[in-house]
Amino acid sequence: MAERSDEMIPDDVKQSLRDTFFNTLESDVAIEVYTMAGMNDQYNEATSALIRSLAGLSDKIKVSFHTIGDAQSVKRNVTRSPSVLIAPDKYGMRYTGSPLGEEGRSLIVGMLMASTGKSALTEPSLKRLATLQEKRHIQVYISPT
Amino acid sequence: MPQTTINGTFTGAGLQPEPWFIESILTLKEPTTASTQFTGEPIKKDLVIIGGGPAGLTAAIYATRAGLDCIVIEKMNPGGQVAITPVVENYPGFMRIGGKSLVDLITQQAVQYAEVHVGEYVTEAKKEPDRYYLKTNHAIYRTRGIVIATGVEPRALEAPGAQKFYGRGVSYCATCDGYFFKDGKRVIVVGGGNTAVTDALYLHNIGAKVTLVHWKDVLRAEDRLKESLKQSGIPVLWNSEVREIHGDKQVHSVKIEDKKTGQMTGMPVDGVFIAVGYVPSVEIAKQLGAELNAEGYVKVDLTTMRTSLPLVYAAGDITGGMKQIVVAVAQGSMAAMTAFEDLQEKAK
Repeated sequence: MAERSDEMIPDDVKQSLRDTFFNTLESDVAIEVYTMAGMNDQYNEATSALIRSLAGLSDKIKVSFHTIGDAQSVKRNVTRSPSVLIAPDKYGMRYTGSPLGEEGRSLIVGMLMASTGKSALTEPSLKRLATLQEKRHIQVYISPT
Repeated sequence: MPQTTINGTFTGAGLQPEPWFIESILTLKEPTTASTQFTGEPIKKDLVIIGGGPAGLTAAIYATRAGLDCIVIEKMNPGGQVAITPVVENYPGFMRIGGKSLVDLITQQAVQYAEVHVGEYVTEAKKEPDRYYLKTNHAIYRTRGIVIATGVEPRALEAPGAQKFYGRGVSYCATCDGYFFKDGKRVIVVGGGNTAVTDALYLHNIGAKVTLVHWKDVLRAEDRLKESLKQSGIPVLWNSEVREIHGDKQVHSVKIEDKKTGQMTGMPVDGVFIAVGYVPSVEIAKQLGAELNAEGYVKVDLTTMRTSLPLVYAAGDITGGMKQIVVAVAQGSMAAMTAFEDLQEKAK
């Protein structure tokens, strides 16, 4: 019987992900998953299973699992379960909740960008952004429909 | 629909074109216009299809299969109004399919044939002696023909508070925002057509406490939907209009006028979903100088989809009429095939 982590992504999709995304990864990408039992358990399970599945597609994806309240979660200032941090030593990208449905795409693109260091922004946009001096905290709220 | 905040300030709902997003990062405001800077060689095409809804995407399939070099440019997301339709039950081949799923299938098919540029929009359109000139936020196109498939946008509700609380309880998209109201939240749907009734049923089915508010005493929606509405037990306020929307950070109530008695009644609500019709997106058609009909839609010959301008065609909701997906795809294919014939004729 297949393990739960295998059930999250069908084999043909896995192969397609390998071909289109994961073969283009360059440097390692650290993914940190934070959960707390009793806080959104269903989403914790789904998130952990999804990230395990994705990590199985490339040895460049380095996943670690943490519990909210432990030293690492305090260091990263993570208080909500589940949370997924992408390359937290390099970038400030995190999901609160499960990156499922439409967000699966942004999760994978996020991993790819963290690995390659490349942005999808156009040259004029990068030039405009280069003028920005202050910090920005960008939050996008998404419903799972 | 995604809601974006930057440094705690709301800056926009939905997918924004990239330049808008960049401006909002810089200014911390919801942008109304964005600067477009482009340097590059003009791109030559046989056909530029403006709008990536069912009409535009189908036009791309047919045009490419006919041998035309074409491209689809889509300002926001592919799919147009269908992408935000909860359920479609009248598209042959599917007994019942989510609007977004149907759009995904059409888009997947279209991209096998032509490039679909998402987040690209026309900023300038004009006729040149031998071609049409289209400037977008990403490129300049010099194209032999154009299919205008820019569709419609929901008509805004003209009541104080409707604009102020947009994205804060006021929504034009039940599919996008309904989920926030699923746990017995009180919502009203304003309107009486197919969209309003479909939205009301959708919201009811996900668990919201729905009331339909309609300004007449009879619904415009088709019989099948009226029957479903009746069976659902959703209450309808007849002859009623929303006059004011109140709230603090979020909507908390509306004032509704009973048009028969003139009496105003306050009603506590958490959400207001608006479906009071559509307005055609005719800016580009106007810039090019295409003739519009009395209702403000692009005037076309319905057997060829030709507009009043040579080698400019229109398809889908932008032409008015039924506003059905099957009509849009039919018109898209007709526009592409006429374009092919006209371009061949011109080349002779």
